[in-house]
Amino acid sequence: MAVTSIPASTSTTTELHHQKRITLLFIITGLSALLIGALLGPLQALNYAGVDLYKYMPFLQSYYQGLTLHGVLNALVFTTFFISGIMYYLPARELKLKTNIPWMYSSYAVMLVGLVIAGIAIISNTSNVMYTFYPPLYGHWGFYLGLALVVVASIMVGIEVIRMRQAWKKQNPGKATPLITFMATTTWLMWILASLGIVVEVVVFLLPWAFGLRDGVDPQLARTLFWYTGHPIVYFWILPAYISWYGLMPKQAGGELVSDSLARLAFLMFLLFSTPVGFHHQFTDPGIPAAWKMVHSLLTMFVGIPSLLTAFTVAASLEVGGRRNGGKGIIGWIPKLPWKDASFTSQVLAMIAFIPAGAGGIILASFNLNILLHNTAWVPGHFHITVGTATTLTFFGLTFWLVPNLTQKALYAPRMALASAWTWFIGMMVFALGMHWQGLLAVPRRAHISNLSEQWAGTYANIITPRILTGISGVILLFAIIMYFTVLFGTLLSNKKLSEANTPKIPFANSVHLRSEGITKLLDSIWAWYALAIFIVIVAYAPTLADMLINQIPIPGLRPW
Amino acid sequence: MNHEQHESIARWERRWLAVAGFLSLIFVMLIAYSLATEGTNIAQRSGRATPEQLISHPLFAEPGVTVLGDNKFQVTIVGQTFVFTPQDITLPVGAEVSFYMTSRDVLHGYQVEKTNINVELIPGEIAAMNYTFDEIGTYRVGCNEYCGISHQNMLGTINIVPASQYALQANAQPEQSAIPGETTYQTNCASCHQNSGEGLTGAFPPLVDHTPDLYNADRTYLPDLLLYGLQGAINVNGSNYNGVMPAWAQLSDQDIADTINYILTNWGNEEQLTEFQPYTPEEIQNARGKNLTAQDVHAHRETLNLE
Repeated sequence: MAVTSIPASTSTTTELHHQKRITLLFIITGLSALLIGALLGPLQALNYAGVDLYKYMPFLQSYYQGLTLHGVLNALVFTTFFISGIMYYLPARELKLKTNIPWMYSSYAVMLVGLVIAGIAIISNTSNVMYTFYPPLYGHWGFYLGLALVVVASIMVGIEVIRMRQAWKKQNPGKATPLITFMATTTWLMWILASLGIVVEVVVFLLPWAFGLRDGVDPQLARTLFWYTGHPIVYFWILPAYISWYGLMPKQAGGELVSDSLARLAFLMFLLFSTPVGFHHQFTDPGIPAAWKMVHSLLTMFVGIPSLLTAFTVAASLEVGGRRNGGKGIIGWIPKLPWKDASFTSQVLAMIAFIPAGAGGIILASFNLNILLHNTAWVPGHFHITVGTATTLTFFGLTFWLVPNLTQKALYAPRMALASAWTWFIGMMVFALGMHWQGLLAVPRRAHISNLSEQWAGTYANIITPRILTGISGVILLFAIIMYFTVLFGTLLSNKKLSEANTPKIPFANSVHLRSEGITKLLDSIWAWYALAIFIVIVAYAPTLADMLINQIPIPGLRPW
Repeated sequence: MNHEQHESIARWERRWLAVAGFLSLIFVMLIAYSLATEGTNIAQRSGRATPEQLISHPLFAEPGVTVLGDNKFQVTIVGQTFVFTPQDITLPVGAEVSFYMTSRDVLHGYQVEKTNINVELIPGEIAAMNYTFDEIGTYRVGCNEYCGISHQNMLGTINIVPASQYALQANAQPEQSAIPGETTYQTNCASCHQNSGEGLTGAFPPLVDHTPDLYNADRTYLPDLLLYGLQGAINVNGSNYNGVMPAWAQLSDQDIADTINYILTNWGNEEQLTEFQPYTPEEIQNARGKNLTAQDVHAHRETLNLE
């Protein structure tokens, strides 16, 4: 399918209508998946507290089926749909260009078909393989096909955004790409490079195997291809949140982005260093040489730097807002921020959660410390405050102005929206505390420990406090889910139409250009940076992957559930 | 924003960046230092072997503890749904252990609490690492890589005992049940089929009130089932099961014969047998030549006309 070239011109009312409808379809489908996925979460939290509710769930065959559904819907489906929506809409509105509407509807359709196929596979109890789907666990072909379609559809959206930027550049020769489009384009380019691993894993190995055309798959090779995508996917989840933090939140706080060029630099660093770091998920794998693990550990430390940069720039931008609102002294600007604004507060809480989350991530990425924590409860503890809070709570915050913007309806129960954000934040922090703590005590992740056989019944009996904390967090989060989705569906179903003037606008922030024109031009040479990114990936992966591809030991599949 | 304010922010920004860079550098140096001093705790590939090769592999044909001399030991471990072989390991304090580990089927994870032992067991890969046990105690071993419906029960222990106690134990006979087959059953089968063969609803079929039907239908079926496993949907006493039974060919002929006899003569199963003749090791050995697949066994089962 070639990208049809559409004459770039100012968008018309119908164009805007379609853009809004496409965006709404993507984000509401994503949030609906999240609703189902998140409702399963409390069951899992209670499992860690020793309470087994699965026997009362007639629609679930096992804890592991429920966990697969939870992980796939939340981490893969919700994120991809939501990101495809906002990372199309924000650049499209920033550039005010005509977009390829049929192409975008097609991408949504492909993604939806993928979701349905994968969903049926999971519900049929044939694919309890978790969202990591490591072979030789043998899922139904529908599972792999469905997920592949979701990824392909997201790449279609990315291609459209890259096309939009090219069209704008043609119209505005010599000018630097507007900030949000710059950030969205680099994120999509990163994702297209990063998704190659999963695409090859699924299309070349897993699908033919699931169709019976291959006898087996080499598990070490498959894991390596998976983590080639599996780590950068977390940047695909967090960078859209950064786009809001850099590009929108300063405006919501009443300030401005203090450094346009640093924001661009951070995104270029993510473009360069997000992908060649996957081995830090495989420190305990025998089949990867230690020297290459060390290289990836080093590169992972580099990719921490743009996040630290973000922390500074975003905090400084909010501080400018707080001071303009009358804040004085070292911390006096903090109470002057718009804390009653659910959108703003959700996203600040998301940022706060990301501080311990980032620290925990650096610990996990450290070759030596990882050995203690690999595959323990620490890991879900970690990613529930990264993707589960930093990303998700930012997305909640976005919806508090975005859904009214798209539907021209007033936000339903704004105080409940605010309460849902705080409750989610507190619930996730308690969850993280319980899980990180259990991880230090070597409690494994993904284990149905509330249903141990007689032989092992007392195994975790001496680990009490952290397990209870995890259980309590599940109940807190259940309230957060109910409140958030009441607000969301309340808004969607409300009859209260807003006037054009009262409909929230996209809060594009002003930014300050600190650097010279030369540097701006250098930063805007996206394709040169992309070439460098590809080069680093080849250096970091080619020797190990080539060896694995040549020396495969195919292992037949198994369905031990 | 005025120029002065801007400059001030830019100044702090440079300091912050310098600190961030410096921190990353420190982290990398600390990691490199600990790898240089304790790097042998990291699992490395020592070779490769397919699951079929394990049965005659010098390291894994009989997994377990081998004394290498002077408080040095070799421990080889095989993971298989849902049991580590060996499950429980006893070693003297100060034992310097060379571990070799692999998996016979899907991925497993071998983690020992309070230690740096945490290894992915990947079929096809043989992982090697060293560890010295300096403290007396009982350490929980757990599978930390999701491996299927009974993943949570894939557990074990490492007991580190005083040297004097170890010498006594090493000379004593390992604690075996007086009933032949019982220990093998409890170690390898109970995590799925449960202690008294009652099974797990929806996941693992009961052996009580079912195994005798299989025996009565065709005496050759049960040895094949243990040697080659079973894959495919089955119905047992009205409930559907869609799991797999792994092959247990690595067990000795004697152990397989004893285990089947144990299952058939306990829990009330004995009352449902017609003309029971215990299985002999020779019978198991003869069945080893058939080279069936888990699907073949399933096909055989379909022909048994179980009601």
